Amino acid sequence: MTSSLGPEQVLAFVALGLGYGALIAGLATGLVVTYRSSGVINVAAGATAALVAYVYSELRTTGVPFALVIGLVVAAVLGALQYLLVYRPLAKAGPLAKLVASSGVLLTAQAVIVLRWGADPVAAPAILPQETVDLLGVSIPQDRLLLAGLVIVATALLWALYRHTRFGIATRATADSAKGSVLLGLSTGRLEVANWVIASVLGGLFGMLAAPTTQLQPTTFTLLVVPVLTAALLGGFSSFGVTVATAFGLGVVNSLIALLQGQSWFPQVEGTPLPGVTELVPFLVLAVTLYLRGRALPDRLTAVAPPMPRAPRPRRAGPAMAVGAVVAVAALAGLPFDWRQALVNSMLGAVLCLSVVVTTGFVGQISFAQMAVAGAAGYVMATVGGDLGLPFPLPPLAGIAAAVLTSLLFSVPARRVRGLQLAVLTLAGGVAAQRFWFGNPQWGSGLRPANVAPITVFGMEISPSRSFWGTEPPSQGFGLVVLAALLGCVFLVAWLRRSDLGARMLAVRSSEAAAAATGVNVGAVKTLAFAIGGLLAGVAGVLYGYTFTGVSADRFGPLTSIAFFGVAVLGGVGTVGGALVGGLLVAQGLLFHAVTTWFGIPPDYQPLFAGLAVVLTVIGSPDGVAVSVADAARSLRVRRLALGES
Amino acid sequence: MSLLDVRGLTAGYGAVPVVRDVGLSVERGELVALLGANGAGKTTTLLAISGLVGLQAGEITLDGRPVTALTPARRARAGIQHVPEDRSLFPSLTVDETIRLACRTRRAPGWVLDLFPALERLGGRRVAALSGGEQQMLALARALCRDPSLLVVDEMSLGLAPLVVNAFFPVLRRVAAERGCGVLIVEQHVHVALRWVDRVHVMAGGTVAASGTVEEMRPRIDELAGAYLGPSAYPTEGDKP
Repeated sequence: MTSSLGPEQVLAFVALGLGYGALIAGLATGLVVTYRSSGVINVAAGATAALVAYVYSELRTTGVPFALVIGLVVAAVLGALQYLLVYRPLAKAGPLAKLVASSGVLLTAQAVIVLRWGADPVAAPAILPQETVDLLGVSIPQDRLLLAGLVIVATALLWALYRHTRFGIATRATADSAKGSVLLGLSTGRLEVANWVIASVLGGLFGMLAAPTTQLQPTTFTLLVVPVLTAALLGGFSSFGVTVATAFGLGVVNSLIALLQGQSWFPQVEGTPLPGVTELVPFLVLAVTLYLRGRALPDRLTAVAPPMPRAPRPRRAGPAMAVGAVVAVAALAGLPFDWRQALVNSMLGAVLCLSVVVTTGFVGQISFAQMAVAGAAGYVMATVGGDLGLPFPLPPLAGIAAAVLTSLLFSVPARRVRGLQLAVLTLAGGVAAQRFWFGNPQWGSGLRPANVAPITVFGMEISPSRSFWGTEPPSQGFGLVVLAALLGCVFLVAWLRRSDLGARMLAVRSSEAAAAATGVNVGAVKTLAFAIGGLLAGVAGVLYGYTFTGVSADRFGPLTSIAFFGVAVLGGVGTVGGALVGGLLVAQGLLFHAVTTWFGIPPDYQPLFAGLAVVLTVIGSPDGVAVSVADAARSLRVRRLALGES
Repeated sequence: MSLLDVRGLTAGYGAVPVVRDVGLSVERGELVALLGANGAGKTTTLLAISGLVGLQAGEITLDGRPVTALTPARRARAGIQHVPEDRSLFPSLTVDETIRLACRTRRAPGWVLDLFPALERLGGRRVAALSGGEQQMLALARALCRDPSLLVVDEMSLGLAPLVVNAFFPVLRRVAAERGCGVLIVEQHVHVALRWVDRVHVMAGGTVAASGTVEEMRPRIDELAGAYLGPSAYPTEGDKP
């Protein structure tokens, strides 16, 4: 376990870290390019690069010549297609819709990889020389150094391209003012497609070059989203130099942590080095830097640029809740077990979406940490009910309290950091919580799930797996508990929107400066929004724990967070109805179950359809399905009235 | 055949028309002002001419060629240059880079430098660091670098000192006279506009309420101010100290 910590070892690990840093840098510079040209934070950059690397790997192993060149062409085509099919139709949509579309592309690319190449690791054939070179008495793999050198060359070329060519100047101009570019006669569409091709080729190239240094798995590159976003964000999504330097820094630190983990003094948990430290570092770097730099970053990143989804006051909430409750009770009583489970999953999803409605829809803070907040509730509940053995209702109450506290922790940076910056920070925080807390065998459950004691009231166990009045599980009694929790949450959020506090939240969302000028305490409003959002996510986390009779770290990971946020936005992030629609759309929810059952979609293809559905829905309804349906209904009423009058 | 001919233009945002059945024209080498009170539809008319607001009805021709179906970028390439109210400059670029983007050459053409000699002095400065007057100058220079046949300028005087504004009108006059360029401006300060333009279209309630040469309109200005422009646009006899 213990290895020496001499200068040679440090040098060797620094060199190894350069390879990892080069991959982060390659993807992050691509991210800067797409953000500059289209205002898209392309969270799918890693997944697209992985797809290219898989294609290359297959071509090489099957003996097809010019595999690298074909790989680059595939990358170029993927970049152009992404822009033309996804982001061009969303040109006038807000940053939220583009972010969600990007998460849909990520899910789609990931699903394609799993379908075509499976989930098992693939060893990609090497492109760069595999020999080692002797540097200061240390044998260092040549490929890592070459990779780092190539990244530096590519960055210098990119810098020159965007600084000194008319194409580069036009791209920067368009990032500043698309309207100005159009009025000058520039073809912004051509500029954007060219930039997407450049970004995709860059990511694909470094994906292919770096693939042999790590085993290819569907999530290998996708999970780099946090360090990649960290590097791009610290470079202000504009500076290639700072982005690449940060990427190398993160790569080297990551590698050095691996070296330190081999030391006897490094904290151990159950005989293995403390997990999650490598995930904690980017989060801390990001949190400290953003907090210190505060608003020095470009406005485009600090503001949730309009148009934000609409957040109308709920009308006739009471009768709608009563009708919904009756329908849900009838469905729980009458539906077969598989549909019942899908309904319970949808209700759970709706509760989590309601937390996104409060933090993002009402107060404009993009938080990707809601799954982590829910996870905090689940894990604390498991500990209080299991290890401490405290009776119901103390475990869920303790879980919800923990969720509120965790969410309040995320509200601290939100006082200084806003918009897309906060999105990246909370995503990094969520990953750190997943690995450092939930995945920790001592504080969380390690790789195993932590059991959750069932609800027991007056000696009666209300568990999803128990028969309820002789019916087949999942238990209808548990379904009623979830329904009651959902109704409580719906009432809370509907009341909030109609209250003065809700109005203050929307004022903060519209303009923090204007809200402050009219006497609104912006910091307090944000903190309250995070507390209420945390409470709702906590309720969802507790219900998740009970539904699956346990909690496990993989349920609260970054991809789940991104997917859930996407579902909340698709439903309609500004309304209670949107959250309910979001609940219908969640994986294993009612709509998903209906489509897969009625159309007989094999389970393997379900993630692919889920990813495509996210992309298509966001293109069709950038404001969310609930708002689109409400608009359509209103138009119909107006048309009927007009016909009646005529 | 007029340089710009707008007939029956109806345009707005979404399904709601803001301007209805607007008709106006600009000849080569002519300076035309579009006057009207706030909300009369002047800016929307300019945006519809440059293509940034979609037409619901009507036709726009430039030099006899219909441009209605063209995108804003194609209209710009066809010869319509629009300097919008917010100027839509590129804050992170330098003055030189802005000019290079517009002119496709490293330096502005000599005639543009003649009009705006300060451009050379400001070359390496970032646009964000320019004063309001310098930004307006750059916005005009950027548009003129494309050697347009029609220059459309919205609220040139907005936020600028009268001294600065008075420096720009002679430039527009020269551009019209020397380059044969038609110039259509929106200006709230009627007295300033009337000093420099050849013809006037007065807009009210989303349509053109009166048109004529400056000589024809000058005697009617009190009547027009009372009916369409509002007291702040043109001080009437009673308002004068």
